[in-house]
Amino acid sequence: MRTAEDSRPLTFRRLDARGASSRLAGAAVPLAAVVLLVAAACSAPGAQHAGADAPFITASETIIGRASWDGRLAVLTSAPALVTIDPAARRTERVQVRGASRDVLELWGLGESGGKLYSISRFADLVRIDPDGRATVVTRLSRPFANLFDTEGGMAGQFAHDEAGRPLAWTVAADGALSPMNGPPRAPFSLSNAEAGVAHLLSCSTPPRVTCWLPGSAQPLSLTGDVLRAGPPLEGLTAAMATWVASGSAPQVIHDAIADEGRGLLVLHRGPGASDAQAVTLFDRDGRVSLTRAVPERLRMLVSISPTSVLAVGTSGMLVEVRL
Amino acid sequence: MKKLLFVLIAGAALNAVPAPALAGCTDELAACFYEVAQRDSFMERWTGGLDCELDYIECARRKILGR
Repeated sequence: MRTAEDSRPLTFRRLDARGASSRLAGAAVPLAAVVLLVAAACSAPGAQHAGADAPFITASETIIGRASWDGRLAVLTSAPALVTIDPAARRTERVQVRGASRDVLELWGLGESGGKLYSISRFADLVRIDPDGRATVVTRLSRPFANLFDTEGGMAGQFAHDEAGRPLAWTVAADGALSPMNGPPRAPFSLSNAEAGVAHLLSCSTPPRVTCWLPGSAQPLSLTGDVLRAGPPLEGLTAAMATWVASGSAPQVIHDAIADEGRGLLVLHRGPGASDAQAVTLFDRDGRVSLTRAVPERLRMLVSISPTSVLAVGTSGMLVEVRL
Repeated sequence: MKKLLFVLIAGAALNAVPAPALAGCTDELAACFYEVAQRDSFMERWTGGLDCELDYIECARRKILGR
């Protein structure tokens, strides 16, 4: 949980262009300059706040994990940086993630348990990420983990390698304890161990109402408790073989999804044809299309949904609103 | 002979034609397997092979799952 004490000495507020120009246009320039100098001296290093009109994820960064956290959406990037998004306030905050030691590297995935955020380092270590970006190894996992994601009850992850017929995912406790999740098992792919591992990697939305999907799949899985259940195939979307996606022969079909309690599932997906276009489609509980909308710019991920719109992160690194 | 066998097994594991999206990952995997195959002891080749596979997953998951 983020406390007031956490943010007190480390934060500064980014001024938007209009606000800055109006302040600097008057006779208060010297005073403003002094205030800005003092603020800059007191703030670094620390969190950066930004409104919806400023990029908070750069084009060179990859989003490598996300979790529901303290009423907000926490996003881990490859920088590595921890970005928190408050959808209601359209406000973001970004801190650089730094290891307490050099061992904390190559992070992947993000989960929340007991109000704290966790990731996996180098396939082996469960790492806690504090609100100020400090990352600390909590424990070494019993086997190499290739994935970690957030669930309503805590966290879940996936082994880098495992045999066909074994569980697809495992719940992961904050102390590293594992227990198998119920649901479809690993499939017997005719692939190398490495490619089979990639073909089984789940992408998941964040709580509440977690939805997951396998590479190339057009049939989402709902995650309730520790049970993954296959939902209906989504109308109009053509699945690609997971083996094709894992070997790079086919692109992902579902780019992101977010469940809407009353209406079904909103899916960001590959557009029709071979183009790079995307669309968002609302599917009802039976997988039938309720509505489809084009997106104003290519989207990286969905953030939240309201009755009239969906909030997303665009490739510009800023929040984008798509009207439904 | 063991080294040759390892290279052949590694080659068989990579029988899929590298597609453009993951060609970099697959090339790195092939280079990694080749380098590991030159090592002297079986244990070094075995653990090195596992590291190669993890490197491939690291590369491929960014391209497939990363946003």
